[in-house]
Amino acid sequence: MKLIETIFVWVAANFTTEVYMISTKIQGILWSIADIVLVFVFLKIADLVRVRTQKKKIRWRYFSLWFSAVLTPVLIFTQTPKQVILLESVICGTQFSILIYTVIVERKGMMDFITKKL
Amino acid sequence: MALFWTFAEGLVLIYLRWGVLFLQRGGGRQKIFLIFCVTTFFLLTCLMFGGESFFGLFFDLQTGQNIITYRWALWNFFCTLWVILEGIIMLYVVRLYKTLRPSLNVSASTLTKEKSSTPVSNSSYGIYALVSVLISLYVFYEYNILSMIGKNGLDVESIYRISLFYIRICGIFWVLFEWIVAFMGIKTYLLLKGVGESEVVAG
Repeated sequence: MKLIETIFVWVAANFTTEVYMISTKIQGILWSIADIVLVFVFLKIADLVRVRTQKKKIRWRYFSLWFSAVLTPVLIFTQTPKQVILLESVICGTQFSILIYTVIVERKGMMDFITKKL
Repeated sequence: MALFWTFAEGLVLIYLRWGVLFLQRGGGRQKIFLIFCVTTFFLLTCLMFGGESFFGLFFDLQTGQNIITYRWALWNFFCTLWVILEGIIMLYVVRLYKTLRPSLNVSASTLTKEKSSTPVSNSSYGIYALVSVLISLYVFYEYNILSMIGKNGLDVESIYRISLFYIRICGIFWVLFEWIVAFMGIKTYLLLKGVGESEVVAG
């Protein structure tokens, strides 16, 4: 328990708002890049299915994803924790919305495509 | 916002679980799972909006330090919950890939080679382990904060910083899990694309 107390005392003394801001920006960027990759790959899978079912290729969802990608580096220029949270909400909110919309809209086509292959 | 993220992640998990069970067994006990999810979400909504009044009946949540400690404990609880949800999503994505890979006629040599590179091998045990570890971490962390308030008399600023640090710990898990999901997503896409291309060549 002594060790935990020592760590907590150190955190209380050193984990300032500045340190929090820097670490949040790094984390936010890493998180956002992972989300961009993940949503992009998911859209590519959805496109793979759409090509076979002769549907139109996805456009607006890619555009929205690029919009979130452009916003990601802006995280570096945020000044307050509130700004970081707001910007992260816009970035991740966009990415999650694309993901959820794609899951709902494309799930049937995707499952048909995969079950045919199995 | 806390409830929105929980809802969004929960929705992704429900669809993903449905997909994995459908591919593995042609369906699954989604009804019971859905009831569980809806009940949990309802309880979380009650906790978010009525928790302060409810716990105020048993504890003194009037003073500044107590209410701040309670609110941070609640926020950190939601952070833990998001890590749990993301972790379970990651385990299902791994399971999805592991279901697809042998079924899509990948050669035995590739299978053996790739087996060691798959991050998690058994998602059923993995889910229990993940939930246990993360809940224990949260309880352990909050217990120590409360115990230090009692013993060392932590001030509001220290509680704020120590609680923020917990979010950073959760952040490490978020980033790690998201990257594993992204990595598995790439592998799944390449697998499906490869099958599609081999079909074209064969055709």
